[in-house]
Amino acid sequence: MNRMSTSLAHQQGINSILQQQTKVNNTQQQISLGKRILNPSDDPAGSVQLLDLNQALSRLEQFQANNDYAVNRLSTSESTLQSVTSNLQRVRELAVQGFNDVNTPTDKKSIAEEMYQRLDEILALANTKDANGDYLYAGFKTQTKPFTGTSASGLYTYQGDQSQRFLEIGEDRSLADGNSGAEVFFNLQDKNGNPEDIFSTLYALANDLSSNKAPAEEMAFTINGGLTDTETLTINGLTYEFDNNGSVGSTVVDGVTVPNIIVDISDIPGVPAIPLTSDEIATNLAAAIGNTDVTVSVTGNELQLLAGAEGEGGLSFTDGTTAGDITVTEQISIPLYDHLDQIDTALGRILDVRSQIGARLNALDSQDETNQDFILSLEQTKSQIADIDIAEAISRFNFQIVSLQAAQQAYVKVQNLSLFNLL
Amino acid sequence: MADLLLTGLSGLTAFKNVLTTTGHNITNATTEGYSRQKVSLETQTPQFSGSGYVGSGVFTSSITRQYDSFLSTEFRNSNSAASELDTYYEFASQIDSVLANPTVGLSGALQEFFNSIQDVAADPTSIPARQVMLSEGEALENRFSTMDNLFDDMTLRVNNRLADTVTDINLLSENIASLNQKIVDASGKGQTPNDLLDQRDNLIDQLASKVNVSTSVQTDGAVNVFVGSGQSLVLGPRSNQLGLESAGFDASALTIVFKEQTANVDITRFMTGGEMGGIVRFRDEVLNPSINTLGQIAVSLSQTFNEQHTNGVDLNGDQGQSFFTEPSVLIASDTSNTGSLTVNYAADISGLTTSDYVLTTDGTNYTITRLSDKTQTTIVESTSGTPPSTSYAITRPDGATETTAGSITVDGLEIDLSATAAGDEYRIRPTRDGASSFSLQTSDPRDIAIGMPVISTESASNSGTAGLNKLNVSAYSGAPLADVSLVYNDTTPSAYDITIGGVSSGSSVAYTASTDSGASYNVAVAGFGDISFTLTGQPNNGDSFTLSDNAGASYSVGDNRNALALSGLQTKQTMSDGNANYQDVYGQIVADVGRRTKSAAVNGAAQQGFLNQAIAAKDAVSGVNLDEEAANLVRFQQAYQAASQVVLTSRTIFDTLLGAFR
Repeated sequence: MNRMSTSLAHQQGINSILQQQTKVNNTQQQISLGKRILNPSDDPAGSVQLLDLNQALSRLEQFQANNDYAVNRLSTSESTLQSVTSNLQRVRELAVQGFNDVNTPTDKKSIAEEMYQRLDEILALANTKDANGDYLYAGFKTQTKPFTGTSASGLYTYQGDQSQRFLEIGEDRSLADGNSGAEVFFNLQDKNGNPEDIFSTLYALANDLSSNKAPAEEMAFTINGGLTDTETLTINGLTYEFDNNGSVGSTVVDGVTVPNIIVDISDIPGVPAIPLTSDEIATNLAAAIGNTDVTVSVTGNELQLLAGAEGEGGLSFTDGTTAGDITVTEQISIPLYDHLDQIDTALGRILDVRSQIGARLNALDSQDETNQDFILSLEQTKSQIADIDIAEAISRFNFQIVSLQAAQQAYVKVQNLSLFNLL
Repeated sequence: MADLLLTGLSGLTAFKNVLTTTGHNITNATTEGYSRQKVSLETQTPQFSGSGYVGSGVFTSSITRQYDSFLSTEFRNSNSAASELDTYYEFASQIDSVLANPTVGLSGALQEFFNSIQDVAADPTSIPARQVMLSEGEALENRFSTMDNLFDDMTLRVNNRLADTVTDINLLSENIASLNQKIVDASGKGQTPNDLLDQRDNLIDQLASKVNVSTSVQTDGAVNVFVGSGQSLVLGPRSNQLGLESAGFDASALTIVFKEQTANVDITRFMTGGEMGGIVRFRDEVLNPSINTLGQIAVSLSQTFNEQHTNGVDLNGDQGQSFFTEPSVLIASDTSNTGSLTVNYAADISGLTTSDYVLTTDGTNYTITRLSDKTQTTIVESTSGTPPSTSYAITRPDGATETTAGSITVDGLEIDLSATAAGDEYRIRPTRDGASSFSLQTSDPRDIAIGMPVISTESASNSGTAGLNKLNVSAYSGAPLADVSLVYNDTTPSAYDITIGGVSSGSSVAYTASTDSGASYNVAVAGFGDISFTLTGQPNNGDSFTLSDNAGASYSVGDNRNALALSGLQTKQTMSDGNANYQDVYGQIVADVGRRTKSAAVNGAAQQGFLNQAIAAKDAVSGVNLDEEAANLVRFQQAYQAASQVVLTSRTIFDTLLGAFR
């Protein structure tokens, strides 16, 4: 027969109450904190996953902060460059308008005055600071004013460096939060490959206008003789061919084959007879050129060319004759066209930078979405691991309470059962 | 009819004994270790008469305790195991609840610290942002010290508990020995001294809940108690003592010794079961590994972070200094050593383990034992040549061999053997002090070095599409850099010719755009450091880049490149041989402690079940059931009354007889 000692019966009753109480307490804690895992020992693997998830989340939140920061800086840069663009466009209009011959020197001076103003404004824009007081276009030298110089001296220098600052905006993804001033305003090249910068270009333009320089390019060359059939000269895109037999070649211009313009070098056109003198050839050439917007005048064997007063044509001259046949005696470049070229280069550069910024802003936008998606999915995973299923917990809690009550009642009932009570 | 009187009297005596014993049982129903006692009644020797044997009553032959030594031993073993797991769980759960706690654990502070670096990267000149980074560095230091204090506190409590337990064990042993004496004396009278036996069993039970013991019962009734690997705690009426001694390498590391007259014997590793087993196991499995792992993280973090920080330039244009205090390797020298040992952390400390090491030497042969797995690295020193030079032949645990002349690198440690002496013994504890000595060294926000000492400039006249990117500097000396220019020369084989400080270095980096674009290159500049970069695009002849100094007065304050490198350390695998970052290692200890705590809880519950069964089985034999005793009380009271009636009857008969003669 199985005996049960009275103290054991007592103890077991108490034990089962204690056990139930522990369970109730644990569930109560889980419910009040909303957490399934109270200590790592509740779910060691899950706890470590939570640590990793928390780190990932904390990094993502930092990436988002970096992202906001980059958006701020890039947007400031974008709106600054927008102002620079409209200023440059205004200067370009002024240049075209200012070099028109109808302007008196006084008019030109006052137009140049506005150009100086615009130049100062662009300089101020180039020295823009961001919200933190850092210069936008100074590379890493964010506390050094990047562009110095005034429209009084015309000497402009760049004090920054060529660096770009990168920020982490996602795992293994970093992005430049700006462009160096060297890239945006300074390291430009003119058509001959010489270094140029926006400020000097504008300054020279305004100066030329202010000092009433003629808007044209001019040059002079002499014909020395020795010209033979089929030799050519190209002036402003038109090809002039020296000819003594009437047969003429052609040149492809913009995909279209254009017959060359004939310049006779024999006394009977189309027949290789007695060659003409240099003076006579010069006269013939001048006559041929006379049909274009290039102004030409001839003195003996010397021709003087002057580019048109308006438009953007400039003056181009390509010598296709045997060396020594023709000597260029004078070439004066009055740089409206160069200036316009350089303004266009500058505009192109700024447009490039702006499209880079636009691309980066787009990238930031999509990275922001990606990060948010990640955050959401990580939060969900975290919740699945860490958070309690309230419905399940409450029903478990109720069940445990019922069990506790049952254990207590059973204890009371059993303890009342003693033979001594009946003696 | 005198017989009837005697018979009745014998009943009265016997039933009185039974009633007294029942009373004894009832009153001891809740006495711990009490075994229910039972009175054995036997018939007295009958008297022979012509008509046969006439019964002459009853007598109490013995009073025995209801006891089963097998069940008792089972209870004792279960109790010992349950008590071990309980103690283990009690301690482990305290560490468990702290490790992943966001306000105390390391994880959150690490994240905040690295985030603060990114904030500085976004705005390098902001003093407030730098100040926040310093504050977060301090917070990290506080976390390390909070956790270290907690572990210190745990070590103290472990030691106190060990001391208490040892005292208890010694006291129990003495008491058992003195009970042994009493029992031997009492047993001489032919009957068993039940209550003394119960008391002794109870003391042995208590002893077993302190530490695993084995017992053997002697013929004279004494019990010998053995502990550890057979050390006799109690031998008959004599008892021996346990004691605690500090390990030579660390005053707070206590070993348990068995005290003998000649020398004390270290029996720590035999301490299993009971509270003692639980404490020792907790110390070995949870506490010390946690301290060492935390130290490992602290050492790795400060070493790797400092290295990157000193490759940078601060807001004043100066070379970065150590951001955190440089950790140092803890070495415990044996008191008899005559030489000295120098150990430093190697430049690459990814091989650092949490183990301690013991180095022994006879002057030419050295053995370095990693204590965690007892693997050995052996080293043989040899001297040769003129002037004599020393070299070391190293045999690694995996059998690989190598020879070196300088320091020996073992697991991320650089060990300098040159000053050791024959017979020396050292204990190297690379991570033990890591967490407690972790501290922030930088106090001025301007001293945070988040720039890089080199900056590249592309020549304004470059006409190709070449680019030079991803500049990086390592082994930075802090000296200024003379301009390094790279000029592209397209003569086959095409390359960038290098000029340092205006003087041709004679060297060049071969670069062919079609195959090398995006490749990285390294240029070592004597007196400055190593500069690495990538080259891209198609350069034209004469295109050039200049690498110039970015420190001192000309420092570009907006530079954030080193900040990016520093914040990159958060996820860089700088630990466990390049397989884990700081957080990973921390996660490993959280998981390890969590698993061990959980298994202690689960096993503890299971063991509690076994214990309950053992108690039930033991109590089924030895326990007092009050209902049963109540029934006995009634039953033997009736028997006693009946026996009195017998005496009364005997008197009545006697009176009747007397009346007949009146």
